[in-house]
Amino acid sequence: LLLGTLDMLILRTLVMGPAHGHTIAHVIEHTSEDFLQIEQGSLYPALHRLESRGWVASSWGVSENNRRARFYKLTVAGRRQLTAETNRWQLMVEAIGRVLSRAGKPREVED
Amino acid sequence: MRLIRYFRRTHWDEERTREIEAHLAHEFDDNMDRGMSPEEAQRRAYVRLGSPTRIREQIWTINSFSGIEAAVRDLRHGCRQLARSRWFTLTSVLTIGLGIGSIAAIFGILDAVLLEPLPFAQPDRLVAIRTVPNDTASMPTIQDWQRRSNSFQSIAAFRNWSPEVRTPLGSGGRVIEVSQNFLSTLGATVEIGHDFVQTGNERDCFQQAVLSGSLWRQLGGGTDLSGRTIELDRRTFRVAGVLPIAQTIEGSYALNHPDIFVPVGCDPNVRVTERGDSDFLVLGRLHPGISIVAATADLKHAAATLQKDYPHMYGGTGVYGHPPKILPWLTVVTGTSTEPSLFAAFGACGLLLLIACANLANLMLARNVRRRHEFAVRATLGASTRQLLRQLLVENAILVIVGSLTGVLLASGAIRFLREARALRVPRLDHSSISVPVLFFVVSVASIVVIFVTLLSTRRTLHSGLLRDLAGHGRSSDSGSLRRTGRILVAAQIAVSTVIVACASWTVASVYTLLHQPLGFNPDNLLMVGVDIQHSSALPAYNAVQAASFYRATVDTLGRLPGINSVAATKTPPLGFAVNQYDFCSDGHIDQCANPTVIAPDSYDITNGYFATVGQPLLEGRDFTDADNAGAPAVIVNQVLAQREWPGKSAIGHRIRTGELNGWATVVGVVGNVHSYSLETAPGPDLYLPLTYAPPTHMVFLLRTVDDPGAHLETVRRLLQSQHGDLLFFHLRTMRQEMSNEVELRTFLMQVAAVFGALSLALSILGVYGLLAYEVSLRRKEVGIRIALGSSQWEIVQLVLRQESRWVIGGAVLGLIAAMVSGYSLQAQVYGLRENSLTVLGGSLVLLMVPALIAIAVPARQVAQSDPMQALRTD
Repeated sequence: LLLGTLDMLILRTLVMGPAHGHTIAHVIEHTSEDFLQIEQGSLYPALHRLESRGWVASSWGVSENNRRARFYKLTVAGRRQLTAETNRWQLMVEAIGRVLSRAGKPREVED
Repeated sequence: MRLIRYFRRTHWDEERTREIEAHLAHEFDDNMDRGMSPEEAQRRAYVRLGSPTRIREQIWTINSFSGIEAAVRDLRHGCRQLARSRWFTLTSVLTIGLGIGSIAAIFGILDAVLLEPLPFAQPDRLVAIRTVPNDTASMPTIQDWQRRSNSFQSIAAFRNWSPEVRTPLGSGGRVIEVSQNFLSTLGATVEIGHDFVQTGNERDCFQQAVLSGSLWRQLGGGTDLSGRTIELDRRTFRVAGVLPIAQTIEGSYALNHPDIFVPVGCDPNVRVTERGDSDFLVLGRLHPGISIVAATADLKHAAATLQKDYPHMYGGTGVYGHPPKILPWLTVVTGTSTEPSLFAAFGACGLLLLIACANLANLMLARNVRRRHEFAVRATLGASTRQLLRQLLVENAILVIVGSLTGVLLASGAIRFLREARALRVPRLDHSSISVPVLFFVVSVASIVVIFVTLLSTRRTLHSGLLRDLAGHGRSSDSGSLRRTGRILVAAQIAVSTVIVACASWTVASVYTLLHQPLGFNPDNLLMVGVDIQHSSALPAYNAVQAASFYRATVDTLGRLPGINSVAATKTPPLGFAVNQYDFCSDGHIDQCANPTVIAPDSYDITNGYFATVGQPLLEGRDFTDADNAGAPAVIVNQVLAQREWPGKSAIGHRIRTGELNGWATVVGVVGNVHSYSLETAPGPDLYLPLTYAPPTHMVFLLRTVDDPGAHLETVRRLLQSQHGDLLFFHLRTMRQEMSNEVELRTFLMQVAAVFGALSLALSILGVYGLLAYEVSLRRKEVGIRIALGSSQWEIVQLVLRQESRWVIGGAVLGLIAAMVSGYSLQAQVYGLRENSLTVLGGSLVLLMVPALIAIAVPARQVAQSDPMQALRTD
């Protein structure tokens, strides 16, 4: 996983509604069609960081398996952060794409 | 935010732990759904997540301030470690305190004396101009220098004057006579009133004086100058201006805190229009941007044109034809010898600091070896080498910081002591203190010491085979490189201390020689009373016969006082500085009469019986008699002059020509040499004439008393005053008092050097002894094997001595070479260094080598005496 993208992916997952850590990990893996294998161990430090920055809020609840789990939901600040990060990501992808496609073509000879 | 999290770390740790457990439970559920066995499901869940402890650690780190926390932990641990080994801590703190304290003190003085700018406008443009060889110049010469060169904004003249001073406070005060442009050249500001009236004619006096701020404050201060006067030689001077207190003039001789400034025209004894009267010291202010080198070249040119215009004045051969020298004013203020001595002291303290560092490194080296087990355990428990190094660095930093604080305290004490020790007369010393630059200096030195010492002591301990250490093997067998580090330290320490001990001994020996050399006269029980009879009732108008009979009558009167053995008078007493010189040549070198100034001896006018009174031995011929007063002129020469003029022959009966008589005279006696100027200055050629040939207007009476000479001073003064109430007295002191200034300062220097040398000697002996003893004890196992194989104790001691002393001797040889080099560079400053050098070098070597050899032999004997089986088992 690219450095710094885990935060963005977690925020994106939470747009669809509150979820607990285990769900978040599986959703990311499933929606990326198992292309993105996240290291589950790094998920919790990331969640802790996001929560301390005020981008997500959490509370204990009961999961679909009838087990206790800590549910995370997006805050207003988190939504704003996601928009900003997504925009930045888009711009970067486009820029990198342009560079790569230009480099792929043979250079035209100028006269 | 972060702070709150920091304090709720435990809460969050619990929360996240539960959350991770929940995650594992969910994963377990999923795995069970996939049809795994419970054990497998559990295992896979853990594999997927990774170590929960790692995750918790990561979150914990997010919640804490990692750097600071680690530092605090190291600090606490370090303090605990240091508190546990109290002796080690105390020794290290004291060692580093002494090292840093001494260098901080000397830096504080150096900063105040040499680096702080003078309190005048643009002080870097101020210079002193000195003629060769006498330093002084006449007023017309100075004025011509100004006119004929382009480098100087202005050139001023000044001179010491000792009139009888009367202020509302009483009598006394230092007077300096200056040219009219002196204050403006110096860049001093007049705080109250105004500068001297600038007429351009230096003969003008106008009875005006400018006072120093400190004298003005003693006189009551105020801003109103009207009606404020002082009296000099019974003439009234009005106070024209007052200088600010901040602009104190400091220096030596005339510049030693003068309180009263008067125009040169006010001193009746000075002839400011005479080109030949070279009485003045010279201060110049350079034009902006002119360097001293450029000004020197310019002035050389001006002096050359003067030489051409007045060949009789500035001609002459030898040094007299040399152009004047230009020095920065600060050098004059601090004295030419202050700067090199301060830097020498600074260097010595630097060496002491090096010794202290080496000692500290030695102590730590030994301590780290003892702690290898601890390091190994910590490394096995997961501490990285970097963490261990950081731990050591923190421990050393604690030591050095505490040591530096001790050092700063010591330094401020030392500075206060030196400021109050009146013997040490370094100008501007009063300004020195533990200031910001000094603290900055201490911090930088301390940081370097920490890094240096840590690197030296840990280079090997942390790296080599930690695990083997843990197992208890190889504690002494693989410490070869460690031992090499230690031996290099020992050698370096011996080398450095040889240098310090040698230099300190040189200083001590030189002062001792200086104070115990023969003076050429007997200074005990000798009282001096100077009397000026000019314009008094004893001599209303100058009359040679009257003056001479007054002096002779006074000698007779004083000689009859109880408790007085004998009395004589001289124009200038021994060690009296101001000596007259006149043109001179003799029948021994008749060709010199064409150019007589170059070889002029110091000339003394004396009464009969002078030599007997001061205790100067008459080596040949006879003393003056009353018969010499009339008829053919007779003179007495000293040994130096006799040997110079008539080498290998008797001087008696030979003839000399002196400018004082303007004619020839016959030598009737030869006397011993005396130190006329100072203790360091070797006796020069002296010429003695009977007082009656040209009686001066002032004389110094020398009284040889039976008991304490100071007790007779009042009696003598009252007796003379009862005869002539208006006599002026000067030079009222005993010969011992006269010498005490020089003796005090030198004794003080000697004591400082002795203490300093002893201190560094003690430090390095301690260090060398400690390390060598430790080195030898490391060889316990080897010695055990040797004894088991049949070596005798004596053979063991010999072997160890031979092997270990190689480094000691190497260090000593290196130190000797360095000591000789530093001795060579100190030659100019240390009196009699050449004569003492061999004794001193040998002595220093013995002082260092003997303890070092004992430090090897004693532990070697101990090791050799111990039971070989025990030695083999213990290690």
